[in-house]
Amino acid sequence: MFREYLTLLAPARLSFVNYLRDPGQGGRVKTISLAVFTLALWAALFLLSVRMIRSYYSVEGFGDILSYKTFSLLWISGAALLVFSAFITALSSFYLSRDLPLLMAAPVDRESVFWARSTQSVISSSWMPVSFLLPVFLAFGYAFRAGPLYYALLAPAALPVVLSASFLSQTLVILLVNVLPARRTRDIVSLLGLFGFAALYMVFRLLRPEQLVNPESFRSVAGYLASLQTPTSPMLPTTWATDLLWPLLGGSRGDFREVYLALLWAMAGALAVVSSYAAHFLYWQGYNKSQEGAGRQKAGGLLNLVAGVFRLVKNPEMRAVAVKDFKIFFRDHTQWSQLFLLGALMIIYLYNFSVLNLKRYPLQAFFLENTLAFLNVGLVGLVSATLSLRFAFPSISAEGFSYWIIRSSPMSTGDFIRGKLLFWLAPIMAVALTLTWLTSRFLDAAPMMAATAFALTLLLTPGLCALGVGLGSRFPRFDTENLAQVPTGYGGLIFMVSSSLSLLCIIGLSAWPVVRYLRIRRGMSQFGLKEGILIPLLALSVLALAWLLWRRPLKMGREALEIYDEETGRLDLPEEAPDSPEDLEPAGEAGAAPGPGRPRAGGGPGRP
Amino acid sequence: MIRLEHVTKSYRRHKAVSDLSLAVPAGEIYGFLGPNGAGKTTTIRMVAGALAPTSGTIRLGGHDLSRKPREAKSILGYIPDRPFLYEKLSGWEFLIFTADLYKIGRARGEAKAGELLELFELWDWRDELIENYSHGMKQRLIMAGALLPSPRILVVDEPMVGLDPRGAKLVMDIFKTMARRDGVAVFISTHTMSLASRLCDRIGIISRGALAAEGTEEELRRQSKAEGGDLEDLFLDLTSDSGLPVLGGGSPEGGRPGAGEA
Repeated sequence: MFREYLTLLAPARLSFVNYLRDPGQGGRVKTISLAVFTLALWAALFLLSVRMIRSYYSVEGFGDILSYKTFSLLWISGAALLVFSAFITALSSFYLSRDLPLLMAAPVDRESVFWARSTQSVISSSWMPVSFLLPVFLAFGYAFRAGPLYYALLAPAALPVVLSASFLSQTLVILLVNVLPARRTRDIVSLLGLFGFAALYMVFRLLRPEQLVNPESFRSVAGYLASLQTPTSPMLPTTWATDLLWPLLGGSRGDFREVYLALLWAMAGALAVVSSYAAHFLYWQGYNKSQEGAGRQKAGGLLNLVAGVFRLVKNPEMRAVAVKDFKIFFRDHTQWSQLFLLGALMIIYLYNFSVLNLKRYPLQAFFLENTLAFLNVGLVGLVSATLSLRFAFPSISAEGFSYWIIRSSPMSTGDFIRGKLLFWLAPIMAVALTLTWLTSRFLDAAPMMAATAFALTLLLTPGLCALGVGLGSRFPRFDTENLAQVPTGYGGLIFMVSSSLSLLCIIGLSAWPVVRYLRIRRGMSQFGLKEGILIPLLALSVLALAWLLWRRPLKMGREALEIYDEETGRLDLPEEAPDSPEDLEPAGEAGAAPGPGRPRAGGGPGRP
Repeated sequence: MIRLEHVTKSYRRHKAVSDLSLAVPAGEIYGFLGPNGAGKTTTIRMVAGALAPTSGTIRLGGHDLSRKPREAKSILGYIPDRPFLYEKLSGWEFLIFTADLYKIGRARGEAKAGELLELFELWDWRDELIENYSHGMKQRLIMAGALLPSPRILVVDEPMVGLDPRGAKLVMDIFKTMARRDGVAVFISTHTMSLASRLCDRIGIISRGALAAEGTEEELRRQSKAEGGDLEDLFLDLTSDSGLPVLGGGSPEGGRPGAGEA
């Protein structure tokens, strides 16, 4: 059985090894950039965490308990994240993967299939939460000057938590699929997860956690301590992990409580046994059930009525693509459900500004309010960039394998890209302008400053959206099974860097005129020749930059899509351009012919 | 109607299609035969405008596909071998989308969509999302979409994949009617000899990216080395260096190498 288990893991292992050997067109550059970005993110997370932990610890009288609670909360939230992530992954891995019919038809033990899938599911659901929590745990060790035992026990403590979360989710999945159809289970759970996350995010913010580091805002010590209550239970593995590691942060070896480590591993083992029993009795039965359809879904109704608004678009091709995208967006729960997150983001954004009380500082209020109203353009720009990355960027890849329909139609690539841009620009622009206008009102900004912020947002947003669509065309992933993963790739990284730099440039260019205006308005300075020359020049530079941001990515995206090769899934660059001699071998029918120099996956012996 | 002049498609050192020239006049059904990996699908995708050739010219109805893609594609209907469609649209919505894409007008588009859904026996399924369709139904819907703009050129990759015998017969009749009655040039890629034999006016055999033979079935038979050989013999003769391998690793004639030496 173990041999079978290893064989069943081979495709995933070999795919990973092959990716490392040949990461594809521009793969090395991509891998290096991603590695640099990840390291930078880890470093930032580590430094930020060290700073936060130190500031918490420095709160006189409460530092210790505050730090302990934070450490405990980290374990609880990490485990909750792992349970949710493992649930979604296990569902796909056990019941919805495309290769399952092939495996089920093979003469292998079904329990081997289950354990192979379980292993893959544990790895793919946990690597991301673990890798992002690691710098935070290391920061705790660094900030508290922990001894080597803390670092040595981090992995032995974290691994059983990961395994427990995964086995718990797997057991739940097996039980649920036997009650609900797998396809509906995924929809229900992912929707619940999303609503839960949005609700949690809002509740967390509305509780105003910033007050925790300001004990003066509480009337009594009891009130402060009550506000620090977090759910803890002596029966939870996260409590054991916290209580195992927390004393070691002090650096004393004598505080090592072996019993918690034993409990952690015992719980992981027990849950593995439960999961194994559930698989033995219910997996095959549930798998058969999951092969039934999710029920027929009909088109029509309200969506068709609302789609009528696109009749205003005169170009019939662009209208056709817009209507199609609109219907697909609202019929796919993985897409429309993101609107809830967007709603939560907007509410919190506006709430943050509504609770700012700048009138507390009467002398600086004018400068603070208006400077913030100006800097808010940058923040709104970040929101627009996030929305463009979330929605506009993957809109090209959303065509999927059906892209041949557009490609073989008379619609030009330029019209196709422009159609996608206009489709997403309207809602993103509406969000950006609403946020700018309402924030300026909350801040009580001067009319001139409010108008400047509004105009800058009006200039910036189209460029950011165009950058999203343009880079989405330059780095399309038509073969993706999950559209939500498209922005997390290399193209998404380039977008984040480019949009942040563009925002910085535009804010930087506009800053001097804004400061001058505020000083003149307060009578601290006069409008002179320098202002007369520089302000129009800087305004022109901002206009030029916005124009460039609008034009350039679209052109780049159009050119890239025109040479996109469906057979290889790569850009069909001229022969001199590829990264390596082997890079442009086709993968489709023509590629099946034995091409010279084609790398052999796995390095196995060639055909004689 | 379709004209390929010295078309080459290279992937670095490997030529998927090499210096291919051929012409398909209006009203003709041209069968494009070849083994797996010979370059059929690459050629078909280039003719459909889904892939750009490395060199050479493709003209559809006199329009150069690389210079006037809009004009060339507006007279083209393309049926790929795999039925990838927008799963979250209904069959009806997909056809109306196609009508708008080809700018044929809403009223005409709706009339034609209804007609084609009836013809391909999908009318009762018109409001169902495509994700609920079977493979064969999706294939039929793609065909309906390709015929909707009344193309003057039809490019088809492996037309019978996923179709039941009734569907296959229907499709063959439609292609014949389109060619004979409406003068449509039909360019079909297949590796099914019987289909080519029954349907096509002329046949081109492609091997390793180059055209190895071309003509009517009769002309090709005459070219065959084997006396009295049929299309299949000619195909095997042109597309392989040696005889067919058989299970166990031997050649059809000699059995397993070395077996007789023991």
